Amino acid sequence: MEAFSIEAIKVYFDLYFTFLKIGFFSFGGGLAMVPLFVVEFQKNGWMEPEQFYNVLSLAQMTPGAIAVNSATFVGNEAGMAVGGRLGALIGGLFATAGLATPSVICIVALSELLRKMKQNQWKQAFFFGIKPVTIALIFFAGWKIAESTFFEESYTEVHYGSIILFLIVAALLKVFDKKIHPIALIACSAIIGIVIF
Amino acid sequence: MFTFGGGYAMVPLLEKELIDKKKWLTNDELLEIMSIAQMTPGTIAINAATFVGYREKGFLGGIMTTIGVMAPSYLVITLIYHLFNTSFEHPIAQKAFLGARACIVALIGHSVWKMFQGSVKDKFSFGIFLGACILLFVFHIHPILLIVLGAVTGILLLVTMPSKIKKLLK
Repeated sequence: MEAFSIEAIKVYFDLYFTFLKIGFFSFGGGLAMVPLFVVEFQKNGWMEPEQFYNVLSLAQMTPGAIAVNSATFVGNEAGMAVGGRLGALIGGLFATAGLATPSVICIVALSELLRKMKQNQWKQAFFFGIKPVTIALIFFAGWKIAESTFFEESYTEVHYGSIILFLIVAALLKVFDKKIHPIALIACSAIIGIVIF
Repeated sequence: MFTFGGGYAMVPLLEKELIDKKKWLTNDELLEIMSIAQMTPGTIAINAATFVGYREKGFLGGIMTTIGVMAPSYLVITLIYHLFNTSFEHPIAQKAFLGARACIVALIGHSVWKMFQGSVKDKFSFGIFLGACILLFVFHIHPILLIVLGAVTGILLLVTMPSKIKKLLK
């Protein structure tokens, strides 16, 4: 079977180790990985940059983390080229696993370290400084999503429907807070989007 | 499954599942986990999931939560790849995503507000938050640099005003 030929297996491991490398060298989450993705994919002949930017917009729209989505897609594409549909499934799996490996290694090591220095005041000061920054970063991420939702690319057009929907959801959260599940809200909003927008 | 727009969009869901339902974490602990997740190599969502799983149930727990957070991405993207190939610009899908994103903005805003109330209680934290916002929104500083600056500020505060800061640490 072509999906298990030597050539195909070589591509699967190339995918695994490429994403392993990208995972280890990217700090700051999925979008920070984009430049590395572009270079590696072109080098390996898996995908041209323009094609990858399309994948990226797909990855941003679909559920799940951007980097995982991109890895799965590129793994599918590269696997498809050497091993057909089965090859695509395996390629996606290897790429995704490669991306997750650095997280598991680094996080396990780091949690052991943090456990040992639980009462250390330098560690506490470190987090005292970082926590407000994290809140600011999440705030900024929210603003970025808001920008791409409420406005057209060049700010020429305002999408009032989505702003009104945003205000309604915000009001519901303010009133009911813990009684409604975020997933239910997202699902309802998606349906409202299909019906009204 | 239901996180659109990258790792930070996962915060409202983590809040609901881990704080409100399972009671594994407090708001402040989740903030600590997000802080760790964003400065460790790898994607934020996977890092956060691995951390929570490892802390609660050991190595196997870490592996399980990692698989759990990645499985939906793998399934959805693979499905899209095989069904639609690259074209996913169907108008109905676009409308659904637009609606979902409007909702996510509200959810993230709500989470930010709760984290802010829970963890920014003194003038030093507020100052760091305000400085970080200005550097991000006005100067578009790189997030990693911002995180390093935050850590340095925290440690410098402890060095320069030990008595004041020690009272605020926990």
